[in-house]
Amino acid sequence: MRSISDKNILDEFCIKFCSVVEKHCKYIVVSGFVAISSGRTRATEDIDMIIERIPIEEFKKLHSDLLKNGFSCIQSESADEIFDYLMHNTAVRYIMKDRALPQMEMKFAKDALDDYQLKTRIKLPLTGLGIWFSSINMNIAFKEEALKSDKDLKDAEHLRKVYSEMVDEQEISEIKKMIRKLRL
Amino acid sequence: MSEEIDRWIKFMQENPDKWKKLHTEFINAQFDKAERFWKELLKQPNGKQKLIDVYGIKNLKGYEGLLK
Repeated sequence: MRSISDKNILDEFCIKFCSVVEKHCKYIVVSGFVAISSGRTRATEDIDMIIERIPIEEFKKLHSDLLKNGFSCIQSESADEIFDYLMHNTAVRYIMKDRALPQMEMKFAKDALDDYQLKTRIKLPLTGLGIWFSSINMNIAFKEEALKSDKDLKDAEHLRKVYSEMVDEQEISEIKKMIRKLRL
Repeated sequence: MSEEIDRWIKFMQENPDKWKKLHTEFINAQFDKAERFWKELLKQPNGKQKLIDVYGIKNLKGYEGLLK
């Protein structure tokens, strides 16, 4: 049994992964972990990350740095193969070597909406984590307009209440329009 | 609107020093449980293959130590 500290297993895994990625490209953590790190009590086994599209030479350096720091990719060992997955807009999953969970699901930014998410990324001091998240309005819009499962709607509700001062209905509405245009 | 979300947020607001510990225990418990189950499953016939299938593991080398 692991000991209880201020940071939980997801926090520690995410902080370590982000500290490596940060050295190589712009990234954001999106979706469920935004709600969970903001106090939502629900289960998850993966954290979702979007990174800017980088050339293969840069990706090789990132992958090599992740391996050096104890991470391993579930789909492949080969940076070329993993890059190919990313270029086809398929998410790749990294774990800490020899530990099945949690997993970091990483994908390339694929359209104007992802570019906007990266551009408007924020840090959330309330989480106690110094990492980059997509904005609260972006997460609410995605969960209410695109994802829509019971779990996602409750995540959105949680975010709306915890970060009520950051909620901007006009921006959420604009993002929902972009989602309908680009994703649905 | 979910009652459970309101209840939990109220608890967070009223117990700023307590909620994080409970939250951490809750999150960690699921991983401890999964890890214990993983170890038990590996003792079963075909347990290794089941784990490979469940997690879609293609890079077996990355899981070498875990699948022993």
